[in-house]
Amino acid sequence: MAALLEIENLKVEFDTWDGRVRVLDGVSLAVNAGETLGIVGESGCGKSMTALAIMGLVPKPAGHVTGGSVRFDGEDLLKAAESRLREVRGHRIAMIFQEPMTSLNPVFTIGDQIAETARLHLGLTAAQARSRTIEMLKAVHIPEAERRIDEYPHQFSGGMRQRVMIAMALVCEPQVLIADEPTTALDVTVQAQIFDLLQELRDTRGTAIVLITHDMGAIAEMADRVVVMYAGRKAEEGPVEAILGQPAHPYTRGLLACRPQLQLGKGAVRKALQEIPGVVPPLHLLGKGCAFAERCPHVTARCRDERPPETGAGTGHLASCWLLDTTSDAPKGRQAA
Amino acid sequence: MRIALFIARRIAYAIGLLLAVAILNFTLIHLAPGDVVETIVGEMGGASAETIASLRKTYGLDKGFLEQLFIYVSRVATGDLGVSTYFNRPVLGLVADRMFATVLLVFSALASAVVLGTFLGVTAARRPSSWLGAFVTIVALFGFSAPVFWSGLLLLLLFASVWPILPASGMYDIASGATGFAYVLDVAHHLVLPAGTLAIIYLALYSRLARASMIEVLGSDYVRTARAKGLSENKVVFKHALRNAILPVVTIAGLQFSGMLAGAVLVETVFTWPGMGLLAFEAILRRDTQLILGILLLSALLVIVGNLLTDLAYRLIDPRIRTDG
Ligand SMILES: Nc1ncnc2c1ncn2[C@@H]1O[C@H](COP(=O)(O)OP(=O)(O)OP(=O)(O)O)[C@@H](O)[C@H]1O
Ligand SMILES: [Mg+2]
Repeated sequence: MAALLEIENLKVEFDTWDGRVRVLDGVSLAVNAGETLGIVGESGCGKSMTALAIMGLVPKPAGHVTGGSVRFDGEDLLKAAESRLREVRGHRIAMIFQEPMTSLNPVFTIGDQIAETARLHLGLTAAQARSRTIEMLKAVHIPEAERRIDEYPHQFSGGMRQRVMIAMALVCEPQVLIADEPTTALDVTVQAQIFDLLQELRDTRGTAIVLITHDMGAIAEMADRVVVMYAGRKAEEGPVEAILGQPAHPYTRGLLACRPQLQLGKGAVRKALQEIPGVVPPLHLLGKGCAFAERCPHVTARCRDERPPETGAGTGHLASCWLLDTTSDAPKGRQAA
Repeated sequence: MRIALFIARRIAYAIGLLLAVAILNFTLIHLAPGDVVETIVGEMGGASAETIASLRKTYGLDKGFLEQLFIYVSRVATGDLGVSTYFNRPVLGLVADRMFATVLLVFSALASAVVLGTFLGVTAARRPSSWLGAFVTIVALFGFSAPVFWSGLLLLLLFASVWPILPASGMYDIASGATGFAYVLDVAHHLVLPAGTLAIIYLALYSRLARASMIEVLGSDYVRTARAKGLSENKVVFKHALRNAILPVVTIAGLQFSGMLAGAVLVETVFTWPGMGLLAFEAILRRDTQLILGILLLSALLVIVGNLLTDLAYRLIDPRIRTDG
């Protein structure tokens, strides 16, 4: 049975001063209705670009989708006409962005901006769209919706603006909601509220959610399955329990160790923050081997020369790492503990 | 109402400003060498000392500077701008008659420069590396560096002589005696060359400005949001982006309104357009002090009104300004 949204072997390249750079290199993932897929990875690993490629919004003219497919409900969106994409965007697949402060147009009221989407895709009259908008503002728990609908973005706080963005994204009841770091710019308490809201909406409407984040805590709380990305490639994928409990890729293990951990013990000592040594290499300097090779504690000669294939590490659990290769010529790397 | 309060406050400022302008103008004119009496005596071919003294008395020039200034300012405060020595008519009526022609000229030029400039800039911004982008840059360079009287004369030669489709001077055809709509058309026909000449300099500037501003706005997060909603590219550009991109153009256009009034003096002279600029030219030649002062004061008033309109337009476009009224 095919998933609702299925991306296969997606490749995106950018023209830059350093020449052509492959920003996404063979990314595959899938989401089913009512499911939350988490995408994690360090800054610059291509999370937002994956989301934009799904929407058909890779920045032009520098960016190009050079391969792969984005199947939504069986239809390959990469082959679809622009007019068809406009029907899907905001209607079937909606997106909320990383930057709530700047993602709303400052010169229109928030009501106008939400109603615009509803009128465009649902063919509502102005009056119908307005009452639908008020309904949505209430659904995302914005107090005094009837009054605030006529206010401008600058009259809202960051958390409230992100609620407005969510209301706008959900006004047409999309089948897929892509949330690109919806809480990165917000206070911790507001973060929890936004996650509660997303969960509530998924449970009541059966929306599939693609949650992009670099917060492992959010993943633990929200996601059913997780994709871990590194330098434009997929490092590991699996059910949330497997990724958090038995991570198979050294990069994932590193990411998990990076989390600050509060230990309540004698004198409540805070454990030193562990981090992955080194930095993400510039994408145009990636070699032919594993992208993580230079930072990996288990690196072998083979890791530098050959790109590791996706290998099974459990039910629905895949990782691209030579450590999992059990054939005869496998390196003598230590297996995961 | 916030907007009423805003306007009331601006009117209070404007009155204070006009008073200061009146004092400054009078002082400057007083400091300049020569006066009306000298001009009149010169035209008469000389006069006796008694005649000169009585003329000076007639025009109030025998009194001390501060006394003259006081008399002038209190007259202006009651709305009396004096009588033109050359035209022998009240200054207020004289200037008011010409004001419409100037306002028409400046506003047509400003409006066409803003509209056309924005359109060119937006089109260039949508295709940054096309020939149009290069064209806008070249037109900008030309328009900005060519002096008004030169580009004016060039247009005059081209459209009134080489390819005579436009009238070269005046505001309407006296012989035709047209009325109603025909009159409006006639005035519009006469307006093309002077307004076009005046617009060229600003057109260049606004197209550059609109292009830069549009490129920035098209890369903004809210434009990405508009695209993610499924809006057509035209809606994205002309609804969501334009309203933001036009803000700097409105600001600059407002600031340049006074510069355009100055430019109008030259254009009106080249095309004999019967506006305040042409009147000012004549008034200066004839040392008609009251008329010069009146024109300066009413020009200041025009600039103040222009700035007020700019601020109102800005508040209309950008809701963020409205809150700090
Ligand atoms: N317009 C562009 N031109 C060239 N390269 C770009 C452009 N936009 C993005 N990139 C590159 O694409 C890569 C992926 O960027 P992306 O925004 O998807 O990262 P991300 O995973 O979302 O990071 P973050 O956590 O910081 O949001 C980065 O290396 C970035 O430098
Ligand atoms: Mg991102």
